[in-house]
Amino acid sequence: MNLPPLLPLACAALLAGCASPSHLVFHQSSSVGADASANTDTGQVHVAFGYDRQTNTIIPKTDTSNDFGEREKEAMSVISASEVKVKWLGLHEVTEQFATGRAARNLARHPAALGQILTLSVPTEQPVP
Amino acid sequence: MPTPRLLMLALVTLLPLLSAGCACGRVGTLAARRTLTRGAEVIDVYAFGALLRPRGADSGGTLGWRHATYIYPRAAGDGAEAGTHWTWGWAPLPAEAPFFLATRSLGAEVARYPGIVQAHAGFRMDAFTFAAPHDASRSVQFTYRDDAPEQTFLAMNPLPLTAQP
Repeated sequence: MNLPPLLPLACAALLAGCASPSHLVFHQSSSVGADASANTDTGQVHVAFGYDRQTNTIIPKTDTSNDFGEREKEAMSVISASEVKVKWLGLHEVTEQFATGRAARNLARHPAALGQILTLSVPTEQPVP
Repeated sequence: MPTPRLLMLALVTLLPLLSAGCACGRVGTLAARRTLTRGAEVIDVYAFGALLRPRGADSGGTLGWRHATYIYPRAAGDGAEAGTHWTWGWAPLPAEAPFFLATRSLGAEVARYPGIVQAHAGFRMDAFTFAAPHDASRSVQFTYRDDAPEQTFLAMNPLPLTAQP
């Protein structure tokens, strides 16, 4: 199969802005047709024809120190639970609960509290502003 | 090389879309529904035609139909009452990045999201939760239903940071 000559150029252009992720991102996608995407952090390119569905989580690195007191980069601490309902090709419902950073590490030390995050429940009470 | 017949077909297909309308950024042939709930501000933007988004979390361009949902955390005590309000011709999008973004587009689109760039022809749905900066410590509870935006719930730090044994 001969790819259009502009495709490699397009891919190169897509990758031009590679940088480290700054945010924790949960991502879902569905597509029907011709689709090309690239992760600007890793440079990974994805091309699909027809139906495609993806679920991704982008976890950034954060500054930590090891046992010897040396600074190093490590994936940030995250505890999360998500439920995504898709009707036909569209998004119908999203429910997510997660903790990040120190909150995640503190919760991980207490299994009972950890259950609050990992047991997904649709809130029935609205928070008081 | 595309044949003249193919170019003519593409032109005939695109002309109705272009003549149907166009939008640039927050202004143009679009309709927006702003829904305030306790804890979240949900803005649905419906657009059709040639759409250009020069900046924002979903910058890029679309030729066709597009429905985007932007959800922002709502500050406690901001004074606004919960409810739904429609605007025509412009979208009341805040300047800051949303907490949650969902897009559905039919047609041709090129878009750049934080961490991802994509181009497609056909239908595509994307949903992003921009959960937290890399150095943030937070706990979040979030739920959203496409057909019931007034039931959207967003609460940050609803759980104790230091769990009790």
